[in-house]
Amino acid sequence: MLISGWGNYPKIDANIFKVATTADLKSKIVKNRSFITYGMGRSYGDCALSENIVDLSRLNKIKNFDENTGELEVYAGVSIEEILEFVIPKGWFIPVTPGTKYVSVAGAISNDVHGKNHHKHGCFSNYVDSFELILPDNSVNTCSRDKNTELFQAVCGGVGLIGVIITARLKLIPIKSSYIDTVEIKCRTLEETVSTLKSYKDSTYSVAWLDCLSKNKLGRGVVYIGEHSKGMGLETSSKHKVSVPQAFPSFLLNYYTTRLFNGMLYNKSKRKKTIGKEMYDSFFYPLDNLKSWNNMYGAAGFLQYQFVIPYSAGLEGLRTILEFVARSKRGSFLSVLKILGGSNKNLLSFPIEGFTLAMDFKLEKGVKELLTQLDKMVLGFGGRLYLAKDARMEAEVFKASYPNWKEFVRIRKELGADIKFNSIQSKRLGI
Amino acid sequence: MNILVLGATSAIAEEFIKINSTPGNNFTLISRDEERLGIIVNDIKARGASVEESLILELNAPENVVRFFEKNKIVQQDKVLLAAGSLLEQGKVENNTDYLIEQFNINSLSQITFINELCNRALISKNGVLSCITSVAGDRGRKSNYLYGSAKKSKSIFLEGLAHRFANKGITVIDIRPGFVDTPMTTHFKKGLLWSSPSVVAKIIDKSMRKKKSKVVYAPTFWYLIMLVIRNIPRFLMHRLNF
Repeated sequence: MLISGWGNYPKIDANIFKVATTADLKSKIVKNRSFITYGMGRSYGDCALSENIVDLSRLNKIKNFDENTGELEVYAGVSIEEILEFVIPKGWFIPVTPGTKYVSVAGAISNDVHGKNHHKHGCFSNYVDSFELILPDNSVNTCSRDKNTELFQAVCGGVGLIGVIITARLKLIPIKSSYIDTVEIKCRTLEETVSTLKSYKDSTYSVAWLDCLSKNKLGRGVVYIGEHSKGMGLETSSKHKVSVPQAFPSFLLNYYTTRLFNGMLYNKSKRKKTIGKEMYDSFFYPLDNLKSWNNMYGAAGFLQYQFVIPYSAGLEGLRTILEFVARSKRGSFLSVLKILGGSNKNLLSFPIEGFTLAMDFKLEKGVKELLTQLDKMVLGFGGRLYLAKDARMEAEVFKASYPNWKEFVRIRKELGADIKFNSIQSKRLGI
Repeated sequence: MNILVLGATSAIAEEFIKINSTPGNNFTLISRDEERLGIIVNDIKARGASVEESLILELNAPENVVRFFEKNKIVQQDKVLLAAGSLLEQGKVENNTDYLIEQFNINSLSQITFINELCNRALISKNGVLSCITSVAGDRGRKSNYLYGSAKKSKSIFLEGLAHRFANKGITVIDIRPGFVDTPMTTHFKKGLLWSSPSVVAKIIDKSMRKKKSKVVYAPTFWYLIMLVIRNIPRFLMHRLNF
């Protein structure tokens, strides 16, 4: 069956096996020579693609929840959406969430995802107490910071290449309201956007949208700040979603319409600073309301390019990259800038202290060449790319920017995971 | 409220169970997959509902059902959903009678026996609702799946008669006919516009059971129109079509 990641590229013909129990999974480990696990299909590139795919989406069950302590035990395939619908009415929230709620818990661990609060709370793995992992020899191992530490640090961010997560214990945070108190600040220049983000570093959630196309006002944007509200109830959201059809005429998304959209977004509010209140899902997951928005880029798909560069590369680093992209006129429909806090001990976790920018590029002639150029710039600044978004990075770029890759490969070999678990990405990156 | 689900580990049943896993509901679950049942039981309890019992039953022989009812004491139910089934290979039927009997048992005779035992032992409460998943495949015989279709159709007729028997007696009987559903049973099919998710079908089942009206429910409704057309294709034309 044809399958792809969220970017609709690459599309591959794969054998897909859905598993519903541990016994099921173990039999797949015995029967298949090599496979990769797949959850909600929200990784953009090819980190969850392989000739054989074991689909964990049926393991979407809750195992246990302690309403008093906020300790939640779930199966690997449960999505953040399902968790939120379940825990919000009880006054709890997921401490770290990516920009979509349609990700599985195993996917969030395997990509060690971060959210708008990375500068304060770090990655998803920070709130994972432990998980059960099935290794190539079919043994079930509990991994935490204290037990099987080496496995824990290899699996978090290890893009499914060490073992298969079957259950996980998470620590939730208490909330009084499902609303977020927000502040929106319009910034006229890149300097202003960056300094505004920095000045709010004590706020829990912060993110900026950047206009990467405007010729004279490159880097202007809107900074969004958020804190969990103290009042207004614990409702969950059930908004009706609009869907983008597969046959969406992707030529509608071009340089000019994208510029128009960016201009509209910037000028939405007349005021410099807007204070408001939003439901959690419109603050954290604005794109989830446009179901299958990935189809907007047409059948050829798109590449999301997310890099991080250290503070030392600074504003100038960001500006150099942005100007380079703007000159190519292949600007991104939506570009998101965030500040990341420090890195953690997980071998392949993406964040390092610095700026991270995510841009979308419709897949067309010349884009890959452009991104290869960007790779060089990012490497030059001491940065790296996010594996969850990647579908094209070359092995040398990866190895130069993820210094722990050798340790990761050593662990894989020791466990026999290099034979059992492989994705198109892992083969391309030479791990 | 007491709710019994046969085939509790089917994708549609699991979604139905999730919708109804609210405090006050008490489940009796029956399936052949013990580990999966355990996973579902945990989920139900975590969500605040309770589980009366989870039981194992193989539907390949109707005698198993008779023995099941002799052995287990089932409490009276307010809602019953039969969601068991296996998508058989028509090609295998044509030269393998044992397979035909087994598959017909799983998809029809064992389930009819199950309903009959429930009724005879008065295990459906006075205002109870019984719903059973059949299929649009039962609306017209086609060369690609007529054993599956005839098993489903036999259930539909049984349910129709049962609804007649219970008319004006309080018990509701609903025949659920889903179209194409994206479940583990159909993983290898190419999916298109006509496909629905198990959660959509489960919501339709839940809604129709709350309305308590004996009827045939196409899930989703547009299948009623599709099957209306297919049922009315003249035979001479049907024989020229290849589907």
